Amino acid sequence: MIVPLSSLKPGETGIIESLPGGRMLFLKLSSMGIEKNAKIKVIANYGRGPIIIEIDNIKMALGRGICNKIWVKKIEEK
Amino acid sequence: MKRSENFRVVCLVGTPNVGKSSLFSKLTGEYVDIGNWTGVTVEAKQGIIHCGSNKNTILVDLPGTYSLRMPISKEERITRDFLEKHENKDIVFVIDATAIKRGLKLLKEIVELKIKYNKLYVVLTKMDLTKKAGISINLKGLENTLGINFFVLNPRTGENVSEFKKILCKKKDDKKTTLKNFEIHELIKRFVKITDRKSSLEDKIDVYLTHPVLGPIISLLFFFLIFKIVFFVATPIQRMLDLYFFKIGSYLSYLAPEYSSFIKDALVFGVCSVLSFFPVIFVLFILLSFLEDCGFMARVSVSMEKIMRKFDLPGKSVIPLILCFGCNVPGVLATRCIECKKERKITMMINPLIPCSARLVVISFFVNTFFSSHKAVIAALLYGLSLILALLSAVLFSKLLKEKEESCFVMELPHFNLPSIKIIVTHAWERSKEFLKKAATVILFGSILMWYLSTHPYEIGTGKSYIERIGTAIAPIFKIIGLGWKDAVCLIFGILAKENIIASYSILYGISSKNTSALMEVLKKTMAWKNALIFVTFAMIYIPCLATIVAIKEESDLKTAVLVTLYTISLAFFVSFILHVFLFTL
Repeated sequence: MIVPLSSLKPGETGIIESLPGGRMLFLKLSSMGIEKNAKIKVIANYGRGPIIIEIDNIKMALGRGICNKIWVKKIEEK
Repeated sequence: MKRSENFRVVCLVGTPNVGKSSLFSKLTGEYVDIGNWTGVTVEAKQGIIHCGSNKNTILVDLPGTYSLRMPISKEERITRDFLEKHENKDIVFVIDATAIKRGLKLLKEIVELKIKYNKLYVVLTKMDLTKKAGISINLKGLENTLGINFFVLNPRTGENVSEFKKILCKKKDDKKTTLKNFEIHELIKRFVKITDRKSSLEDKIDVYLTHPVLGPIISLLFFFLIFKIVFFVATPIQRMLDLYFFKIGSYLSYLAPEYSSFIKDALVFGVCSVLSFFPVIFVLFILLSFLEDCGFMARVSVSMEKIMRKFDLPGKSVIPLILCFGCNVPGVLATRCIECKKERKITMMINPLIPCSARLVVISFFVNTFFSSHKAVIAALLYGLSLILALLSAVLFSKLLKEKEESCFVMELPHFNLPSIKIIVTHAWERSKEFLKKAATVILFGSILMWYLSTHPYEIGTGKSYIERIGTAIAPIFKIIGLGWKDAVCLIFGILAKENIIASYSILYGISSKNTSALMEVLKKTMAWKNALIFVTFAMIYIPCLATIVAIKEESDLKTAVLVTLYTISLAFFVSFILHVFLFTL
């Protein structure tokens, strides 16, 4: 199931499918490890404000605006 | 200043939070001002590595950056420009082992962008934390594939640092290091294993600290505590310094009685009373640097993101704005961490509206004199007013500045760690240094000028001194908001530094310096509380001090600096006028 990153709940994981356009933002995200096919885990999501995520075991905060535009393939819990 | 040509140059490069600054302070121990290099303005910290009898080596700590390809923030631009323009250099590339992929990415950019260097040393830090982070690295495999040695060291404990220093200091051979291009994903797949880690205590703390409601409340409590500690620790030291400066002044004027008035009024009361404020600022910056270096401030920025966005500001702007409570100059410099140009500019522009500790002196003096029974309430109201004006101005500037930029809030949350005292102290010193510079330059100049204007051509009180003439000339403008010529003169001197305001009153009323209670009595008799309230409100808002204006000009451009100056003056008149109408006619 492909959903926006912002819809994932804390503890849920997904694989990044697509990133927002804009070369600047794309490069910025990619240099921080947020790129296609990366496994991304949501640590905290309060429904508003930034979302705390984890990629390669590094924690980051991402603005909700960006999270709405990052599409991920949700990994269903086994 | 030392000439840079005779030195070997080594620069530290890496992503943020890898431990570059710790390594820097372990390798050099002191900061030096080496000045500008040919064609490149270095806005990075520099130090000297003493290599025994060998030629000395300059170490440049370049600001951390995630990418060199498209530098977004000013700090990233500094790093890229230095790497590109300075050809004859060695690079110490620092990689955080717990974030090895990110480090390798930046390393690959150095290869791809054909950054020139003589020698390249790759340093791996935080190896001791990899197990906890669920990462295992096959170091030998990596080294063999890349054809380069990794130096594993711990800048925090100093483990292996002296060995690395020896290697750095080794007599230079002419062989250059060359790093071939590599494929990151393949490297990671072959030599790095990342396993899911268990959720830690830090995760739980993060959930609270970054919460949009709880986070700001916790942060607020912390900042309240900090201000409490600052005044608890620093105020006694300040009083003591005040006393000593006064004694020194008296002694000097005893030695040279013909210069007595100059020494007492210009030097001691002007400069020294400002200098005695240094402990407050230094202690404040020590505590704030601690919160920044241990990782707390990053969480504050995240939790404030939602609230600050309402005022078109990024969450990150909280850090420079909080620094402003100490002094606006480091506050302006700290805006460098904000990537988006427009947001950075707005933060810089509302910066002067945050009352610095110098304005606190003015506020507490007036509140003590006129509102002794409601001190806290009035002070809190004045602070609240400034904050509201700052935030509303941010919205206004955001509407006025046409540049449209996509806001990009991405921020790493570094692991909590206990920063070393040495680093915190150097960090705080770097910031408070600006304040000392101010005392030695603009405030000294202001005090001497003020002393000159009030004693020439005739002594003050005769109505013929320059200062009295200037005052009467500008008085009509200030009459609109109910202020007299003496208030106007004090405000003018406040432009040099807000601390000058009280000193100016003493000189204008001909009260010997240091006798604050006498000044309070005189002011109480000559000024109504309503006018005092208008005066202190005006003093809070109008024009940033000269040092702040200069800082804004240097960090952005002359236009912005002029705009901020004009804006704050008009805002001060506007608010004071409304207050005047409110107090006197309603």
